Amino acid sequence: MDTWMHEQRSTIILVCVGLYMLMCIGVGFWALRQTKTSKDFFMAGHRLGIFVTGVAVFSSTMSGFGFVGGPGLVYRMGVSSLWMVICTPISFCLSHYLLAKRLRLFAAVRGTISLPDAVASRYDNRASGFLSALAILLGVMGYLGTQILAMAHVLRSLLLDFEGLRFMSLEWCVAVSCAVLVFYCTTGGIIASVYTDLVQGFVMMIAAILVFFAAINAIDGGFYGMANTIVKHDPEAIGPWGTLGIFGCLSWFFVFTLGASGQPHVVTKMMMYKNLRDAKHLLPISVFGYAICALLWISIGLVMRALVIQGVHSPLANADEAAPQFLQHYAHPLLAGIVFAGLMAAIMSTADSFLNIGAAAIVHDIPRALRGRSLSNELAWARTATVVIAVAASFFALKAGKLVALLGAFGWGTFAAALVPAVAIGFNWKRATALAANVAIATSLIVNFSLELFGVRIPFGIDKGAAALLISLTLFFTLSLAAPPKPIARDIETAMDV
Amino acid sequence: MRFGLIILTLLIGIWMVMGFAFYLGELGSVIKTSDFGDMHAGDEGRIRHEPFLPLGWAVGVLQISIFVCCLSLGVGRKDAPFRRALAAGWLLFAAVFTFLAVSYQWYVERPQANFLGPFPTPTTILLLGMWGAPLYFVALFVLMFDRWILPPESLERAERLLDVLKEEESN
Repeated sequence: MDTWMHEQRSTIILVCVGLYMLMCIGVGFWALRQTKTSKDFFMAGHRLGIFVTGVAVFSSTMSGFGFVGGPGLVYRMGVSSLWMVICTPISFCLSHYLLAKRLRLFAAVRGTISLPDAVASRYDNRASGFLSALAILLGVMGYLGTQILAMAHVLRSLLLDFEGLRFMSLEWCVAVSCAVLVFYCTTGGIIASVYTDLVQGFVMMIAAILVFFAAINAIDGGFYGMANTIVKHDPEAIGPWGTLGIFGCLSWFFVFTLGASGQPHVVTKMMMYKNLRDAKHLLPISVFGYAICALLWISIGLVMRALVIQGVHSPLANADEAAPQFLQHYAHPLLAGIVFAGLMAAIMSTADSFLNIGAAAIVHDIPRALRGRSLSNELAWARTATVVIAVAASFFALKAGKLVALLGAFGWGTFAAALVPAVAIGFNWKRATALAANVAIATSLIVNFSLELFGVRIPFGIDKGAAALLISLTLFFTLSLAAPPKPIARDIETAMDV
Repeated sequence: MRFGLIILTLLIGIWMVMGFAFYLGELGSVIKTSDFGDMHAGDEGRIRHEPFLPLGWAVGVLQISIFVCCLSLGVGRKDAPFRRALAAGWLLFAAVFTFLAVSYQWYVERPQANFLGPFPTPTTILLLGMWGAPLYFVALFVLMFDRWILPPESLERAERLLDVLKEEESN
């Protein structure tokens, strides 16, 4: 039986991924009947349960990067990239303390259906809404492009094992994987997105637990044997700062901890749950779910590093190969199938959220900022915009080459630097002014893009996004404190007092 | 006003410490190993990190202070028990980070002799301590939700506001 499974490895993996995609299509059909208004499409009618919201929050935080890029970084830099992971309990705490109650209240008070909508209401300033929508749209195009490209690469690598399917080019793989994503995002909007997130969250957790144990068994002496091998080769790699160094790691700690409260695809979910009191349960669910998924990130990279040093595995030309190589050589075919489905789940759960907030920016936020009102028949336009964004991001991903990578890298740091001051701080601090919010958003876009475009290297391996966040926060506080306090609308002020 | 000034002071603190580190300049560098493909090595820890460890510790503690101040802003309460609870969390988090920095100093002296569990001591503190300490704030959020985060009077206030808005809308 086991030998048969190993012979049929590629088929088993493809079947697992195929089943997962069919499930997404099924959810799309179900969600179509639940989506009747634009409020349903963007906000799930504000009626999500505790569990669905909690799982959706963590699964949209864990993108394909956590399944491929994360282990790759651990292979390349040792412990350094674990600073991105160990900060999740405090980062989820910050986003929940600062926004879980506040965003839901703003949504109830002003009927906001997107983050820029809430920003415009808070500052009573259309420019703030426009700038935040622009920052989101730019980040979405880059992030979505990289996610779509990652999906296509995964699918293509699976199809290459089948003689009859080798004709499928990367373009075809983009088309197939995008078709599934677009189908359920167009039919069911955010409802389909969060319910697929629920399944995706569970698939990711199961995959991560199984991989963790497979990784322990892959090396003699388990984790102790692995750490011992690495410490003999390079003590710094397995030390707390890894090969990146102390300031580089602390810059990741800064941008990933504070930055989580500025990720629009994640915090928007906090506007969707049913009762204010449900906020109490969202935090532990998100922290627990992410902690489980992080096991995969931590274990694969370190184990592959040790196996290569021991000479058991040949050196990897590209660190991103760490996870695929581990699955191919050290995981049971069924486990590999689940993990590949988990990988698609991780990519899709982030991509669907991006599609939704991108559509909201185009059909709701930008028209409102420019014309003072949103488009008529918003639901139909939202569905059209979802297709247009997916197609544009696909073309962009296939044709723009370096620019996609640029915008992809630009994603997390941009959202963090642009939206943490204006949203996470500004929604709780009454002294914050519209001018300070607008300057913080604009500066973050300019600083992030310039640093990436000109390939500026900051000494000590300091993350560019962290530098942009430090600049935008400093400007935000300085400008807010320099101006006299501005009056806030009565309903918003009460919502900020609760 | 006070919150803004505190955070701004902490941010300026980070600027100053980093400015000093930039002034001292980088020592050692990441080595790209030729034998193992796309794998980096971290150079000699003692040369690379020892002069910067106090500065790194200061940046870490300043960051932790910013995080805890932001948590306090989210709750928006000024009563003593809440502040004490938050201060205890800050102390715990900062103490774990301090222990990590100190244990790293021992680690660079004799890497192979400094293991705690399956990993070197500072790495174990990173994985368990730095990950685990914030669970205190998770517990605080869950256990004190009805007292501090959303007490009945706040919930009532929110419901009253929504009723007024509904009434205004219907008129």
